[in-house]
Amino acid sequence: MKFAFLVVSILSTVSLAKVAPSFQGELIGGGRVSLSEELAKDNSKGLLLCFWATWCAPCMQELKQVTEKLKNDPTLPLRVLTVNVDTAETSSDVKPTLKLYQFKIPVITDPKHEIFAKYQDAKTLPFSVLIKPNGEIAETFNGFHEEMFTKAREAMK
Amino acid sequence: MKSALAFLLLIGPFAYSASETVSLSESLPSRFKVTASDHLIFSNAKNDVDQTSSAEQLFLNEGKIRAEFGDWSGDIHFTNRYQPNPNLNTRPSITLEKKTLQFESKDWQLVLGDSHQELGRGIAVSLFNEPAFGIDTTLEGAAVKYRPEGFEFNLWGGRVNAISNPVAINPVDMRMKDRNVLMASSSMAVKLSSDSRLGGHYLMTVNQRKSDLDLDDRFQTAGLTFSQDNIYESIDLYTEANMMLSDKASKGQWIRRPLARANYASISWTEAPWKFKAELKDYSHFDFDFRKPPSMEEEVPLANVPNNFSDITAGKLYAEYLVLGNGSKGYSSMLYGRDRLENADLYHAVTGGKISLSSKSEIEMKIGYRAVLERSEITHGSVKGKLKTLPGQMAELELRKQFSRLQLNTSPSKEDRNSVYLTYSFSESWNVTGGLEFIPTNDAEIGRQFFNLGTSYRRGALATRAFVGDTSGGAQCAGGVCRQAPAYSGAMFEASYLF
Repeated sequence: MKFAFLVVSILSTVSLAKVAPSFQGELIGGGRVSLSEELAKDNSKGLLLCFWATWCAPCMQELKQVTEKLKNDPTLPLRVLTVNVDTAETSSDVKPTLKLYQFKIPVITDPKHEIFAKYQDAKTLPFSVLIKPNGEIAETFNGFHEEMFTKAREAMK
Repeated sequence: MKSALAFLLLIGPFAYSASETVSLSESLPSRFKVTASDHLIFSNAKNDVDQTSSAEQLFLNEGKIRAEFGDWSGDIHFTNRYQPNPNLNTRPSITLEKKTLQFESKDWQLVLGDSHQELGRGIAVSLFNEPAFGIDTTLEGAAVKYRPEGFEFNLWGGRVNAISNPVAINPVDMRMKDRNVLMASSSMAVKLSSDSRLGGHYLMTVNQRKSDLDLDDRFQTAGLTFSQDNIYESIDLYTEANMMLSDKASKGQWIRRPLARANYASISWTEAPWKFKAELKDYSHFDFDFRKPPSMEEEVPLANVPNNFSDITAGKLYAEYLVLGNGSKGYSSMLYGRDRLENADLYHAVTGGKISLSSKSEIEMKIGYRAVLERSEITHGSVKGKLKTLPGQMAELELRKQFSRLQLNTSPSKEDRNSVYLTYSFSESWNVTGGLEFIPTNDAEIGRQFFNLGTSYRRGALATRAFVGDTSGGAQCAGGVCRQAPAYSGAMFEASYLF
């Protein structure tokens, strides 16, 4: 009991830094990716981790706007990695949806929400996390925000 | 001492967010990471069974702490529940719900403790988490995964661990008070080419009743999965077949049940702007508790008719046309099947679409009709309009109607559910919703009109929600899971934060 009290006391007084939890995942189209490998690829750019599902219409809008912005603005210090959270009910829609919307973005499948649960408790979508190359979470976004891009520039200054 | 600890755990989340001075990870090697999250619900509502009772207070809280060091990580998940009752000497209860130690390298994953497990598309088994309904069922044991390029092997075993204190209002009760469920499984998958994959799985389950050994069950399930993308241009295929042998204990002997099967296939063809999909499910005698198989019917809340995942054969066709330029789309689907529990044919047709009228407004519509012939009929429809007003602000109006005729072969009843929700979003972070539900088929004592007001605020890692008023309850679906929720009358506040 004393030990439990000590643990609770410590946790009640120490703030925990916002670091991006580690994960590994399988990419659609083959290959595995881990957060640390992804961050190490280019330390001049932040990583936008976008969680989405095929049944989430605002997610489609967000992915469309993010991919168009990245395509049209090569100076933006940002890369994108997406995590699809469709469960068994709709997971057969994932690849057709990517083809239908003509998205050419890296997608990790997370049907058991192992990655999603590390980043969000409420499981609401769309949800995005801006991660600095050193692994710190610069910002999290519920829904699409234009300020994603300004925050990405600020984070990389 | 115990009450002091309980109090600290209850106020813990506020204590964390109040202090923003020390960064634990900055003072430790960079390979060490700590993250935590907290989720709190306070509700003051009438008893869902006895609506004439006075309001009862309920505090629910769950915390999750995760620590990582290199390839190793550890998680704990605890809950607190406190329901003050002047007639009883109630005290806050604290439960350590889940604990996990994990090692993960490029090719290996080892988990000791709690983990969510699923085979195939959740048809053979699925131990999953659905926070909206307070479901969090895990395997408490050990799991090993070996996954070099092009190959994956899994081995796991342990007991099923359902959450004791679900942090949700009126959760689905998954607790297994009277039984122990033990599971062991092995599975493997091989990549045959860049577009195809073949897998196989085996699961053994023993359902041990604590009270009466004559109610024990044992199950053995074996299955195969196969997926092939780009068969011809843009055609993708997924198939899964499962067979289950099960026995029931009776007077010291095992009695074999009929051989069960659960098969599923989907084939889709996508050539923008068109998408077509055909699905087939064939579940027979597959009566097993821990599953989450594709229902192919998530378009409408079906909790006021029996969900049949064990004895049904059905096929579904779906077509969608997307206007890539502005996101407008139209779709239609038709499902036909045989419900062997109801011993009747099943039809379900849905059509709908979204039209972007301008950059500032759009309308979504959906209508559907579901019939289990001579058993039940449901007509459902919804219209949602969105209008962007000031910069960053939006108004949404949603109208829903569901008219059901149920138990047509025994004691026919009708249910007419209508709802109007008006939401105004003051920014991407903050919105306010006013709702009216009108159910003219309800008994007068239950009530026919239900008014409510809610607001939610989300910013960064903080998500909050407040609600006051009445809801009629009824069918609710989230993440492919449906349930019949009781009425709610009162006020609640919910917050979650990721540290």
